[in-house]
Amino acid sequence: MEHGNDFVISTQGLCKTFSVGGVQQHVLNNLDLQIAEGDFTVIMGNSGSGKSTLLYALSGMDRPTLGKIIFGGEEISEYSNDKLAKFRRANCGFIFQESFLNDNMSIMDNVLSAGYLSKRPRKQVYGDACKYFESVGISKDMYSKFPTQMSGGELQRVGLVRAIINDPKVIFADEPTGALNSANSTAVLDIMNDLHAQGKSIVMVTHDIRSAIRGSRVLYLKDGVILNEISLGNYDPLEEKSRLDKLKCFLDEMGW
Amino acid sequence: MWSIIKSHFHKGKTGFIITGLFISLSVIMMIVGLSICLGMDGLYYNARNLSNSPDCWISVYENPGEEQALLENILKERDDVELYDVQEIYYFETAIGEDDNNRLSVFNSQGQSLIFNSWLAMNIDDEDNAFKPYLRDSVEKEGYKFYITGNCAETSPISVGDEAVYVNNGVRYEGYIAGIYDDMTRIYHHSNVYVGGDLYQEIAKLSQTDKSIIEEYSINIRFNYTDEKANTLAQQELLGVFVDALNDYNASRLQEDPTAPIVYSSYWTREDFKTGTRGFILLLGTAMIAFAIIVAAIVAIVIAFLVRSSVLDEVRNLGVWKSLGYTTNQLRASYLAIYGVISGICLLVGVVLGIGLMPTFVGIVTNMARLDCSKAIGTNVGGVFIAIFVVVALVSSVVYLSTAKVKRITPLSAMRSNIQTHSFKKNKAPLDKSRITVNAHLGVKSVVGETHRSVMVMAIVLIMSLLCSFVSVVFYNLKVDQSAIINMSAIENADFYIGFYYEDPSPYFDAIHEMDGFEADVICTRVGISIDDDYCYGQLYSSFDHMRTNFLYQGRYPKYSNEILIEEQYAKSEGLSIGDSVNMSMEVDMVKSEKSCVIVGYFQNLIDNARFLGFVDIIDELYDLDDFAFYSQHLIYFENGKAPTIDQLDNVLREVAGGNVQYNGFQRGRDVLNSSFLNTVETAADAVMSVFFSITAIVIALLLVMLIKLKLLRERRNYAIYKALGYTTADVMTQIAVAMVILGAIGSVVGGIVGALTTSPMLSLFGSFIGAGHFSFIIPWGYIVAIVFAIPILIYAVSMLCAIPVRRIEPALLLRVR
Repeated sequence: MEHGNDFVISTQGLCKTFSVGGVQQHVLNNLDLQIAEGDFTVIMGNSGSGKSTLLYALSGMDRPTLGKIIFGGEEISEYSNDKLAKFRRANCGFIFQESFLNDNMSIMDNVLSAGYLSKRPRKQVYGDACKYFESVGISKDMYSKFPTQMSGGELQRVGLVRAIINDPKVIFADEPTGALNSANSTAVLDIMNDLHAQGKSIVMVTHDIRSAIRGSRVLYLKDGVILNEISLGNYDPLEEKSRLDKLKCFLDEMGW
Repeated sequence: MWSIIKSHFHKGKTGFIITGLFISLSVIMMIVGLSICLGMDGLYYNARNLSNSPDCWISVYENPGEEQALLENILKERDDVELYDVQEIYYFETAIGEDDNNRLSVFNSQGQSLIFNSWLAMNIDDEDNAFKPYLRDSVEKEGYKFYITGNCAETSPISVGDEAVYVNNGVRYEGYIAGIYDDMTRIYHHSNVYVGGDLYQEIAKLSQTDKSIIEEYSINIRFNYTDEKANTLAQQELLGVFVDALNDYNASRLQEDPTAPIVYSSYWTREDFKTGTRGFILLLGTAMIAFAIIVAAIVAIVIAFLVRSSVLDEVRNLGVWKSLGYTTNQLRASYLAIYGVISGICLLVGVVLGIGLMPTFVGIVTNMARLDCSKAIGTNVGGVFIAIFVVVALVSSVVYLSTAKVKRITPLSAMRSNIQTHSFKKNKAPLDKSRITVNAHLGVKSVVGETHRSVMVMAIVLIMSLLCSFVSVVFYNLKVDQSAIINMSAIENADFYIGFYYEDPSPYFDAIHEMDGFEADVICTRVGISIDDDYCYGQLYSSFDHMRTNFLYQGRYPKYSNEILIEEQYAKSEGLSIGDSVNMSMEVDMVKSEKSCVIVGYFQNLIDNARFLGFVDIIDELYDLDDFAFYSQHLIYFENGKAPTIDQLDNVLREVAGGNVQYNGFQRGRDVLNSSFLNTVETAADAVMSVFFSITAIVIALLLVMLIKLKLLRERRNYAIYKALGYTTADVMTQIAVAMVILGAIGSVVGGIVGALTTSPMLSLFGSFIGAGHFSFIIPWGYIVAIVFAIPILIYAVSMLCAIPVRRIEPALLLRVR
């Protein structure tokens, strides 16, 4: 899917400053960005460039120091913590580098603990969870397993199911394959591409080129500003080689 | 190893502080409780010295004087008599038919008056008095001085400075209460009044002409035994020798002259004071020790939880240390070191506070004993060492046992972050089966998922609610509905106790019988009778049909004059049981009369009031005595709700007398109970209730603060995940509070019910040592329900307050976690 005309997220003059040991660190600097609905946006950049900070700001997990974030037509930058929490449950799904599942709950409970926050009937939520689990290759006999009893790839797939259980407007993924081996990474990225193909907007932070080529648009972040971006179009496995070359070329230009 | 100590300290700061507080609290309670219990004998011995009381005294009347030398010779021959004196005293009989004559009236600030119809005057300014009483309070004013006992002052109530008037043949001797004194042998006898030297001289003059003022003398004796038991035995033995000597003296005089007047005597010892107070003071001391043990148990549970949690958190570090060559014992020693330091500091604080707070607790004992004991009881050094030993032994054993898991940690398990290759963990309370809100369900999952923590919280709440329940049952029965405790006292709860100084009081009783709602009139008297040659006191009644105090706990009430009830403890000590026959004997007019009686039931005697209960004609000769009726009291019963006030009854009797009535005792039954033991019991109830309830609330609150702070520290990551998923601060707080409330509710329901049901059996167990082994307290289910609801509400409120820092956990924390 190409860029749509409707922006699901846009930012104006976004700034984020951290104070570390009394020293101000400007992680995001007056950043303007638009993300179209149905887009698979990849954010790349060197370590400390502000990728994750941008992702967390866009998703309402963190508040900017300055600037506006407009999400689905609503300015969320001034929301209170509780309003942001309610906003996230309705609009955002998250996939983290570490699965960040609750070790004291079964994988089904981890998913349902997010799903039951929606207003949908519980049966429907449970049905969706089963459906999504099946789609990511997790069988019914594993539902009652705990995170400590599963492999990294399985955990990330559970995290993915949890991210989509409430049918969010945007899925935010922070280095989703960072802790996975090649086979598990491919499996997770395939699922994400399937979701994108179904019309989901995805924003993913990664430093892995093989993951980045799955996106339709790649932004390059440096010192808290978007240095440049490249459009790759929708992912097609057959075009993987050419996408890789194109992206490598782009990244070389960016000095990566 | 230092890193383990540092990390443990960092994560468990609040836990350490709270554990430390509990240790100090336990030490304080243990020191005070042990000091009270171990210092009981010392209390009475020291109180005797502080109040300058004799150990016993004898008053002799109808005396020709010769027998005084006889008695003094007995004393002089004894090595164990440290000190004695002989005091001239005057006994007043309110003259029959002459209004107000010899009556002492005291008027308190509330406008109430206390009338002493028959009383005993002693000279406070007597320089030869070796036992000048200790004045706990005194004041100087114009007028004659009167000094009353502390017990009399408190029960009336009378304060120093209150107006007092003695009237003799129309002459008013106006004065005031110049002091309140403590004398352990006189404390329960209101009629013992010290007067100033000037009034005493006046009385001495009056006694020359007024035959209703009887000159007597008292011999006050103090023994040199420092051991309280030896002292008590000496008192009994000496009084026995006195009785025998006077009997022999009377017998020889009657042989010479059958019309010679008999020398009468009365005896008092410190035993009344001891038996009236010892049980309740011991109960307070025992309760404090019990509470100290409970708090120590909580300390053990908390330390076990903290250490186990720390070992689980530190698996990686412990494994690394092991890989470097540290042994299990060395690693366990690091935990012992941490808790050793904490316990040491808190022990020291506890000991200092225990010693410092001792006077406060002694104040409570003082109120219960109605004697100023503030200097009579102090910190018991043995108690301090016991407390230190208990805490050190408890902490080290708990730490040692709780670190057992360190043995199983290997360098390999550390590398795997303790993830097991095989896990049999079960998914308890799955969300897909949930019918409740998601927050409540997550709270439930937290309860079933963290078994150790849940068991700890539940156990502590259970213990505390059990204690609250126990205390509330005790409080209810000591303060609100005292029928159960009265039943154990062997004191009848009639509407009025009344006696008259008239040769024929029948017109007065006839007037009472005519009153509206009159139900019954029962004669009652206290006598000393030998049971199988063992001399003891008993209570006699003309009927057991109207009793409002249910004395009986086994057997039946006597139906015939040869049947008696016997006090259970006494029966046990004498090997007597229901159905046994005993020989009851007493000397009446120097003639020994006997009767064989059958024991038909047992009663309990919490305050050592009587060893047996029987009919007034148990010894016919006793009942036939001319002055029996004169010395007896009548228990007057009115129908339920129809009892007149004391003034209404007084007015009816005044009409009969045509003026003031010459009462030989006139009290409401309730006042008799109050002055006997209920005032003491109520003071104990108030003290126990307020101390225990506030400590329970503090313990639960501190426990929650510790747990929730620890939980927030350990679960930060999970809460950040919840928040990232869309849970609000209120949602997370609710989950925490729900988990605690569930545990609190289970603990409080179980603890409340078990506490209520076990109060009487527990008290019976302790009470059996003081002659009251059959408590059947009423269970105030309303109170229990209130406790069962109040504890979870308290837990909810404290949990929500403690969980407020959840708002500082932000989902962006996950960034930093990564």
